[in-house]
Order: sequence, then C-alpha cells, then structure tokens
Amino acid sequence: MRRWIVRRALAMVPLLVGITLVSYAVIRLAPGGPVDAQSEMNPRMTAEARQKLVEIYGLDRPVYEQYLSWAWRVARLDLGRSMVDGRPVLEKIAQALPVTLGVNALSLVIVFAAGIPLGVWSAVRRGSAVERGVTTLTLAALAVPAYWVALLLISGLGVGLRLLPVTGLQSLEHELLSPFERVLDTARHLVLPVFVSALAGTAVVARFMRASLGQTLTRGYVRAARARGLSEHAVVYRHALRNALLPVITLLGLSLPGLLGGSVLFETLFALPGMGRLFYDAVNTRDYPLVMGVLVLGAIVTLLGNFLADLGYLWADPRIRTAHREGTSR
Amino acid sequence: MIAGRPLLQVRGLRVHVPGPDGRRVDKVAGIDLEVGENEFVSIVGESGSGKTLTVMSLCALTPPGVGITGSAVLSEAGREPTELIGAGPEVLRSVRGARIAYVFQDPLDALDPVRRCGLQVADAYAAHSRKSRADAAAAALRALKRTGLPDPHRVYEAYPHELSGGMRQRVALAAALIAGPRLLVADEPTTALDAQSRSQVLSLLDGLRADVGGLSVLLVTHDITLARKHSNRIYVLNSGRVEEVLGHEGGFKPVSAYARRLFSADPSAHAPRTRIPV
Repeated sequence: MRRWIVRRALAMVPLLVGITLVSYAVIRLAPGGPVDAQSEMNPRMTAEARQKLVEIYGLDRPVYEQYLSWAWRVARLDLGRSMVDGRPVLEKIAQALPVTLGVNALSLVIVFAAGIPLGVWSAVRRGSAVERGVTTLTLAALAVPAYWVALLLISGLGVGLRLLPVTGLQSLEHELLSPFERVLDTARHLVLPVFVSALAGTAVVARFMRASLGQTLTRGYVRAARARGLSEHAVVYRHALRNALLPVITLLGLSLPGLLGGSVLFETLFALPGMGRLFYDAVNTRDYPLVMGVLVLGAIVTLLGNFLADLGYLWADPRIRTAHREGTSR
Repeated sequence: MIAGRPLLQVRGLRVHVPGPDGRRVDKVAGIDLEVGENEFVSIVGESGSGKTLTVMSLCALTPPGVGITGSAVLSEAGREPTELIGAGPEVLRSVRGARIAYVFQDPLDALDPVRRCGLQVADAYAAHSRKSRADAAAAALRALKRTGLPDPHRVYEAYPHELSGGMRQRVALAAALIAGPRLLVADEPTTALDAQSRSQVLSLLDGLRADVGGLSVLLVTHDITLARKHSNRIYVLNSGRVEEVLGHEGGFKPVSAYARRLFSADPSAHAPRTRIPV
C-alpha cells in the first residue's frame, strides 16, 4: 500500500508538467501580448522602445525556449516577476491569497457543516414537511444566480437597512479600533461574501448527502442491523451514515482547489482584492509570468486535492485498502 | 397439531403495497400460519407469491409504505404473549434479534461493508444487553466459535469482503443467534451460496438447534428438496394465499394442482435420472 501511495504521488509530476504546457500554449495563443497591452494607449511609444521591451522580456526568442526557461525557474521555486509592474509574482499572489483563502475557507466549512446535516435530516425524515422544505430551499438556492442574491443582499441588508458593510474587508477607521473591535469589524465584512459564496455549495452538498443516505438506507445491511434489534439511531448513524459519507470524501477533495480560486464576480461586487481579480487583470494585460504563477498554484492544489481524496478513501473504506494491498487495482 | 399455544400464531395476515393507480394491492391476502416450539417450518412458492413479505412483516421489516394488518402472536413458554402486528417501535426493537432473529439471502449484503465482522456480531449482543463492550466482544467471539468458523479471532477482525460466502453466512448466523432468540426466520439463506457451503450452512443450523435446545426455524425457500429434508411442515404459497399445508406425516405429498406443479419442478422428484447425451 505504501508503494501505491508513493507511485500515486509521483504520477502527479508528469501531470503537473502537462498542465503547465497546455496553459502556456493557451495563453501564448491568445492574441496580443504584454508589450501591446502596455504600449497601445501610449502615443510616445516608439518602435525602438517596443523592440527593446520585447527583448527585455525575451519575447523574441522561440516560444519553446521561453517555456523551458520559465519551467527551469519554476523548478527552482522562482515564479519570476510580473511583466506589468516588475514585482515578484509570488509577492503579488501572497498579497491576494489571504483574502480569497479566508472567504473560501470559511465558506467551505459552512458548505459541509451545514450541507451534511441538512441532507441527513431530509433523508431520515423522508416524506415529511422537513424534507419538502429542505428540498425546496436547496433547489431555490441552486436555481437563483448567486450574483443576483449578492446584489439583493447588498441593496437590502447593506444599503437599505445598513446592517452590514458591503465593500472590502475593513472599515475606513479600522486602524483606530481596539484589537477586539478590529476582529469584529472584519467578521462583519465577511458575512455577506461568505454567505453568498457558500449558498450554492451548501445546496449541492445537502442534495448529494440526501441522495447518498437515502440510497444507503435501502441497503440490505441496514435492514439486517434493524432485524438484530439495533436502535434506529445506531442503524442510521453507525451503519447507514458511515457508508453514505464515503462519496462525500470525493466531493471534499474536489472542493479543495476552490479554496484558491477567487470569483471575479463576487470580488468585484464586494470590492475584495482577491485572487479572482488578480488573475483577471493578469490575463487582460497578458502578464504571462503572473498568469502562469496563478495557474501553477491552482494545478498543484487540484492535484493535491485529488490525492488527498484518494488517501481519504484508503483510510475510510476497508475494501479499497484490501484492493491496494493485493495490488489488484492500478 | 400443536398442543397449547404455538410459539408463533399468524392469523389473517394481509400485506398491501400502494399500486400504480394509488389503490392498495394485496401482496399477502390473509395468511394463517403456525410455528411450534422447536419446529422447523418451511414456506415455499414461486417468486412473487408473498413468501418474503409474509416473514418480513412479522417484525415490520418491510419497506416504508407497506401496510400490514391481521395478527401475529409470539408466545414463548413462561412469557407474556406479544402481538407483533401494529406493535410500537420499542416493542419491535426488543423482539428483533432477542426473540425473533433473521438471516437473509445474501450475507454480503446483510453485513455492513465498512465495519468489522466481530463488531457487527457484538452490536447485536449489545442491543439487548446492558453489559459492557468487552463482554459483548467476548460473547461475539464465543458466538463466532459456535458457528464452526476455523479462526474466530481472524474473522472477528475481518471485514465482510475479506471472507468467503459461507463464512459470511456463518457470521450472519452468529449475529442472529447471539441474543438467544426462540425463532429464527431464514429467508433463502443458502440461495447465494455455492453447493458445498449450502449443505454446510444447513447442517450447521441443525447443529446449532441441537446445541441451543429449542430453536424454531421458519425457512423461506425455493428449494423443495431442502424444505422436504428439514421441515416438520411446509406451507405452499400461491399469490399471497396458503394453497396447501403439507405435513411430515403425509410424506409431503401435494394434492392441489398448483402444489403438484411446483413440486414437480423439484429435480430430486425425477428419479432415476438419465444422462443426456451431449
């Protein structure tokens, strides 16, 4: 089994290289380039100056050469410098990441902490008013566009009732507040963005959990456990829920990359300086090193998420453990 | 046929399911049935004749939406009789496993795939006892040993998928009998097994009955040969009704046309066999 884990981990390396190749090709195939983006609106830009910029960035060399030198730098953990302002890519990401990570981590916790109990609740109370209510609400949460909910909340709770702040993560007077008030201030700023980004995910997890547990409850071992006189609580939570949670591991693994990816839409609506806007601006200015930096980071987290999901299964499902011990699978 | 009150007395049992047009469809349409102390009773009939629904309805193990009416009284010697049909959840829970136990057709499906076999047997013990987990574990180990499993300690630690079909059915039997029931309902317990495990499980059941001293069996089966070999009495079911009751005394000779057809489908009835040239 240890050999399988090592093999599985090593297999991520060629995958990562492939992802960077494709990403590099796609961004280079897009029309325009960093020099165009910087010179288009500048009337004093001469042809010689443009040529000089091209040489500085190394854009006159063959593309595969540029990729190789980029890859060689990344292999030494250097993501390079932005072509727009010359700041290190890592520094720009490090500035935007905490905002996105904070909002997304909170939202991910809510998605699973609320989605799983809601799903369990409606699966156990099949046919009751509780189930109909949860089904209707989750369907509604999935059906309405999240940006529309965001706008409604901003105009209703934020602008109309003035209950919650709607832009940024800190108030103007943030620096003047006591430490406790600062935490409270940031928390109040987080309420709306976190709620809006958790809404659809919670509905997805709740519906997934309801379906999974509903199906598990019809299985033979549930009836057999009941036939042995086990309490309904033990039947549902010891046997059915444990089995129904297995596929949720995949869902959790797949949501990990979402921690880094900011939504341009929400970050614009709530004026948050996060990863979504950083990436959006990078693509618009064809800031190749920054685009690639964000993509590489996303790829690594996606691969890690999948890897962790596989390890989670290994830990939670004895059947998969046996399969790998005997080497019958993969 | 049985002196005094039988262990299980079923009168006018009806089981209905919601039909496609919303009307009730009777799958079991008024069945009378008796199982005495230490008796082996079989229910035979073709698929869909209501065999499984009949025995599952005794402990309300039918799927949600299924309606059960009639009467089924369980009366062990020296114990207050209990009406099972319409009983509340707590009564049912105290009957299941402790007074009526079940084994099912497919032992792989009847065991939780992600819980160790020994723990599942111990769970069944703990459900009816206030003793500690350690006592439950010891009892589970003893129960596994009684079913003739070669290495009970290994089986205790094993997950269901790590065992063979015959071993899994022994684990299921251990879990069924650990709380000391007087009646064992076996729903096609050998159908999912190969021929060898099949006869082993049945002789094991005979052995366990002798050990326990007074365990009645209600067997649901397609296997007429099996039913004939072990039963005191065979109920032949047809479309949710009892077509015929056959006793050991009568040599299980079917009279009704339906039962004769069913029994003629039994390969052992066609002796001597002739080889078919290939």
